[in-house]
Amino acid sequence: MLLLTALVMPASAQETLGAGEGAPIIYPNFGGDPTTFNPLLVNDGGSSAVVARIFPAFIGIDPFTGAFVPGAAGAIASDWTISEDGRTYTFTIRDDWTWSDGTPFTSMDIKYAYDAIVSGQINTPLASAVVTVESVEAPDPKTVVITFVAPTCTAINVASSIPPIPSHVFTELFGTDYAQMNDSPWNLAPTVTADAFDFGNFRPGEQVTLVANQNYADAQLGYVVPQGWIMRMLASQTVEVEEFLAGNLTIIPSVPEDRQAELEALADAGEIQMHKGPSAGWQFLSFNLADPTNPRNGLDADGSPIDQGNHPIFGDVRVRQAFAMSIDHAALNAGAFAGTGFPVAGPILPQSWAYPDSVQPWPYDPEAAAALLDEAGWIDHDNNPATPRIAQGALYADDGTRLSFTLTTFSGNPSVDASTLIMQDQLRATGFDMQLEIIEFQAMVEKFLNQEFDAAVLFFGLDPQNPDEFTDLFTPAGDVVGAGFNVSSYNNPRATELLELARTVPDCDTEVRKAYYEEFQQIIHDDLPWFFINVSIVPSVARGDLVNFAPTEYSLYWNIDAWSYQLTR
Amino acid sequence: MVKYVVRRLLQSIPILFGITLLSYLLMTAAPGGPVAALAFDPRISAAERQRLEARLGVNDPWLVQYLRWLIGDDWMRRDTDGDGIADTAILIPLDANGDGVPEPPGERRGVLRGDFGISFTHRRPVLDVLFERVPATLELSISALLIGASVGITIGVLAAVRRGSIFDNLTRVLAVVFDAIPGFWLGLMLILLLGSQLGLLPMQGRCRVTMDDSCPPVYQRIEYLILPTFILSTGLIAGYSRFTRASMLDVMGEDYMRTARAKGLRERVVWFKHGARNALIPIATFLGPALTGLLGGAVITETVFSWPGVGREAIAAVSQRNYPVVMAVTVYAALATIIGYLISDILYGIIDPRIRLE
Repeated sequence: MLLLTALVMPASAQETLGAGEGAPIIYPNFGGDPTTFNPLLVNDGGSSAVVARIFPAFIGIDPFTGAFVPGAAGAIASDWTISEDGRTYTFTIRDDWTWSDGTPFTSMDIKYAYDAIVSGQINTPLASAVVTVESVEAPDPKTVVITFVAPTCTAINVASSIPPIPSHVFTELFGTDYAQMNDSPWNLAPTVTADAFDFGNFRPGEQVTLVANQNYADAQLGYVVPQGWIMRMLASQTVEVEEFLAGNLTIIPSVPEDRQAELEALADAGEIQMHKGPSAGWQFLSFNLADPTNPRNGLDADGSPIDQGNHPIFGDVRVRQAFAMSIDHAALNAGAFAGTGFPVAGPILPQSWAYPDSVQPWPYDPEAAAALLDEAGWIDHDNNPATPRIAQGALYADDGTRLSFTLTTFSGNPSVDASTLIMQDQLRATGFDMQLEIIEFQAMVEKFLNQEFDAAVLFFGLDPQNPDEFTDLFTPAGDVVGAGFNVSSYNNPRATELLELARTVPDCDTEVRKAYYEEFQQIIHDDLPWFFINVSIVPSVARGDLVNFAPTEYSLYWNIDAWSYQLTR
Repeated sequence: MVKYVVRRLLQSIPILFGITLLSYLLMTAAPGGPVAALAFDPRISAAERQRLEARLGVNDPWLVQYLRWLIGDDWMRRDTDGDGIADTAILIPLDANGDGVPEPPGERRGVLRGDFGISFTHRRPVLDVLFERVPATLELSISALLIGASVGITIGVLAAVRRGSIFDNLTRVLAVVFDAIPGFWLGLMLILLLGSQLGLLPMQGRCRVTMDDSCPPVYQRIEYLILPTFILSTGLIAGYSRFTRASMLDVMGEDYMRTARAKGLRERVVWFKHGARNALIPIATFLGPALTGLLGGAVITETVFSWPGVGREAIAAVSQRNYPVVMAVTVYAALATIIGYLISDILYGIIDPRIRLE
């Protein structure tokens, strides 16, 4: 039994410990227990964090470039080739590493996973990810052949979403009756794993414990230093920081904005370690371009566009552009994001290979915004910028309509609270009257997906290295009331075409693809279905005495098996 | 007595039924749903979300969902020819997600047949999820009840016998203060002060963080109980002390108290043997509301202190729209309340022989 109270010594003053001699890595989790440790069923952050420590990936990334590479640490694909027609990928499975019971990895570990995903029998979030796969075959134990419906430049991204599972165990437990997997006790007590750690135990509501796997083939030092890895269930971010400061947590992967300054001061003083990197997501504002009183899908059953009406205010792109130019990001950043954020022009983030420098965020220019509103038929009838403008010859609003709308967002997030209040104040200066509707998160999500809002603020992130994931956000295929994420009902055929073109570039020439994504980013910037409010710089912190804590821009945990510190009891 | 208990239990059946019906209606009428909570991810297609909705049965009318919860769905969608594929359906469609393939036959048997369903998020039987959390809640609730009742009653008796003293006035003021302070705020303040700043007590959890699967007996980890028990018992101490004081003052002027004094008994014997014993009679009725308050308070306290009990699970279930768990917690809370009030009534009869439970 280990009482986790520690005296901290600087990392530089310590040496890396031997195999299993390091204290366990204590990792925080709040917002609910992990629900499964089965890689095929994982659908929440807590479960994902555990699964990433005990199961390998099929294809891994280089932690220093973010690119998928053959033979990456922690991945079982050692190499792959691509057929001439670009549809078939043949992967070789490495043979220098085994599951924790000594069974070698085989191609069936991928094929079984794929067959289960597409069976429709299991509660997996991965089915959508593999719709472009035509078949997965295992011609011999070390070869996986994945054939795609059509040549696609996202093939490796898609293939990487198939998680290796111990097929010898799953075949024995479930056979081809995949539905049995859904409620299997194995999901919370996996008996066979393979990564830097093995599963130890799970005390619901308290902790998940993993133990060092000294047979891990990709250990940075040839052995795993920490004795184990423990996920602690905590009540909130406030307590998380206090527990870290008390020495009861090894790291905080994402420091809350309101505590960043305090922890940065400690990092400057050398008491803790801090790593800063841009968030993989944005806080954004979706405009509803269609009639919110009668939400309809973007396409009918034949794939033809449906008339969805127009939003009286935001149906006109000039109003959306005036909105963007009314926002002073510098003031917003200082007031809501503790000065840690930056604005972006579109969904493609600076850390992405596809990021185009040429497209810049909208400038803060209230005068240009006012002129654009005048042009759009929203006039300042009383020569008082602080009162809402009214429509006079506007595209979709009756004359006399006030430039008034409701911004819907969710409660309980300090930066969202602050940013919406600051935007409300800034918009008032150009004649927008923005009413705030701050509601419980699930209630907000329902309004968001049902497209029953004027404008909505949320944040989430996708894989910055795969811009194809924006398809559901900005094409009519995702404009499905209640279920799709193109909640703005945005439809620009050229934007849709560009995503398709970038996906199907011959030989997947990066420069050609980048050019398509550059045009896509420019169109989203100009059309403004979403206004990208902010991208935060998210610091991670670790104990001051944690040796080998060396996150990269793409991976916080790439060398976690070498993390080393000692507890003083 | 037995007849009375049986009658009360029978009377509670329609109450319980009404509570579940109303709860289900309110729960499903609330905005947001489990599919959005489980699959709010742009990488999951709209079609996949619709399939999940059908699989969970949350796109059925609320009354059908309630019936499924109450009496199961193994009679709603059935496989009559034994080929493993559903071929007949009542109340619900055979092909709920519209993909041209019948959904699997219903497997749920409903709470009336002991099946509380499968948790949407845990993908495990709801009773398994809750039963593993009941010990933690009982541990905290019983501690709080013992502390709350013993400290509260003692303070109430002493305040009454020293009516108008500094002690009396101070405890009355403190009772109002602690009754008014929100538990979540006080909890956070104590975490910051005693846990973070002074490092005297653990801030979170029920047991030490360990590499093995052990959580030692409660007497070896009392430090983890101190803060949550204090927070949960403050309301009880306040309630019991005020109630006891008032009850003691009522009995102080009774004839039997004067008689006891006239017999030459010492004041302490008069207060505690004759006074407090009679004053406790109405206090017995406080047990029912106290249990209800404990359950409500446990939800907040367990959440603030990350105590792995039913209350914390209830909060998570509500925010995730995990209907089966929310309903099971509702039944658990309703049963606890009904039993609490029943125990109050029975105690009343035991303490006061003049009362006959018939």
